[in-house]
Amino acid sequence: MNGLAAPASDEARTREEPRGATVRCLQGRVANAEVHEVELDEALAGARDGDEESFLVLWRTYQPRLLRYLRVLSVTDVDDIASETWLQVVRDLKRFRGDSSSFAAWLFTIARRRTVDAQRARHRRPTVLVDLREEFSHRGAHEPAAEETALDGLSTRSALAIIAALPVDQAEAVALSVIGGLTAAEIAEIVGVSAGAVRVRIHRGLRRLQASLDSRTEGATA
Amino acid sequence: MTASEPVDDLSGLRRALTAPGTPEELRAEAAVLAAYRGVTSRPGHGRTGLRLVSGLGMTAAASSLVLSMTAVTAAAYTANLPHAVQHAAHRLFHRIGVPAPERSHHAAPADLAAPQESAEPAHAGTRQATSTSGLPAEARRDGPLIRPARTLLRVGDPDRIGLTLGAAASRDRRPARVTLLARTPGALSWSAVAQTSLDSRGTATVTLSRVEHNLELRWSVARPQLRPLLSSIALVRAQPSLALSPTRASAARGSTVTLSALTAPAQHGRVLTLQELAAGRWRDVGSAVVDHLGHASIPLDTRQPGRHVYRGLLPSDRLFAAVTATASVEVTS
Repeated sequence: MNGLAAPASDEARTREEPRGATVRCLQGRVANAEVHEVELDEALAGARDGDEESFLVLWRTYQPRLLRYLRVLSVTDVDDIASETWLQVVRDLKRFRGDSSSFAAWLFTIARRRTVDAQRARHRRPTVLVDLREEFSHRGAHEPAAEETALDGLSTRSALAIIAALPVDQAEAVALSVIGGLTAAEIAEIVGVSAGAVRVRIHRGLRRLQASLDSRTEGATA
Repeated sequence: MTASEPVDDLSGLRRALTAPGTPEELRAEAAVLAAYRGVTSRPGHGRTGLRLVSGLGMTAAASSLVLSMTAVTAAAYTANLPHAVQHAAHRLFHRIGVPAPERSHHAAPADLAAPQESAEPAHAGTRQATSTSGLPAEARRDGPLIRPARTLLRVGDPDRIGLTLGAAASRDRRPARVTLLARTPGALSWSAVAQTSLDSRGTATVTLSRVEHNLELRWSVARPQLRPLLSSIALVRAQPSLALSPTRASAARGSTVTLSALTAPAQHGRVLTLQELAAGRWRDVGSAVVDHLGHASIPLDTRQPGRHVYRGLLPSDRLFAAVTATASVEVTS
């Protein structure tokens, strides 16, 4: 990091700071989710006021999460559904009231409705996970490197494939929880079941995921 | 408790799923921005004074406003305007740090008062601890102020720049952890570069040194069980050094003279524009790409006798402020 901070001069410190105050130099990234959330709230407020930069902060934050959620739900028209979702967001943003947390819930609610609509229109069940399953099950042709198979090196693509391999209700609950960062109550609102049922789905899904990851890790180290 | 908490033992999976967006995932940016512009530019979409400021880009707006503040705005920054005027200034510029009038001394006019939200601090460990509702609206809008002593530095200069956290955060006298955040302009994430605490006046000062490129800076003021308050963003610009030297200060008409430029840090790949002063105006006479050592050279036209004054210009970009340097060559007949 350039521009590292140095302590203020002694004179300045005497003038500006209480006795015993220290200025500590830090390096490394800010792992402060709260700061990020405050920024998202600011971005949301700015986007509502018509500020493009603020809107782009929102979009760059949530677009990847939205696409990943949709990839767990659906496959063939992810980009179209994401586009339709954002168009509705853009249209209704001025009327939206809430913070960044409720914005995420709103965004995923719209996306889910769009997905269901699209799937109804195509007369197909909303559980088509073919691409990801195929990718996951046919990986023999291009085995991932051992370090990618290990948990810490898991790629986003592989992680999505693992979640997509869960039963659909569990996959969606886990995706909304992990990718969307939503609470059980918010997920319950979106998928139309009780918060308790959501917790059960997440619990079962995570147990399956853990088993799946354990077996992958064993396979990689065998 | 968030629903995602049970996955702590699946941290690798969580990291993979919440990794930053890839260029592929973000490729639709232009399209969605066009849609956004289409909606926000429609008649009837609310546009305020804040919109006009925001339209310049928050960073540019904040820094240029700091640089060009009128006395009135400066007074607004320090909350020294009459109450009603301060309120109006706050409404227009609260996002860049103009505080509201002191509530303890004046009641806000009903038509200007911000909607009041719960001032109850949330309990640690709950979702509300990081929720908007955990803070009073007034506290968020006032926010801490960031005041760079200067906003332009030369790269490599031993000069230091003091960044003061304004007294707007001092109304709350509880202990606070004050962190200075920095990032390269255009980056999404911040780095913590210094941590300090508030002094008795509710201000804090950190001195930066070795600024090597433009930086966006903001304060984060965190108190227990409340989400942090963030200041507006200040842009501190870093100016590279540029030196021009002709191979000869005096040359006969028609002889070969080259102007060498040296940049530090090396502005590799950037285009240096050479201008000549003619009839009181600068006009472009050449350009060259800076090499990996920071050098560039441009041959001069020595057909006209007299004293020729040249200016090298490196325009500003995301990482550096613009810089110029001059040199002259006497061409004899």
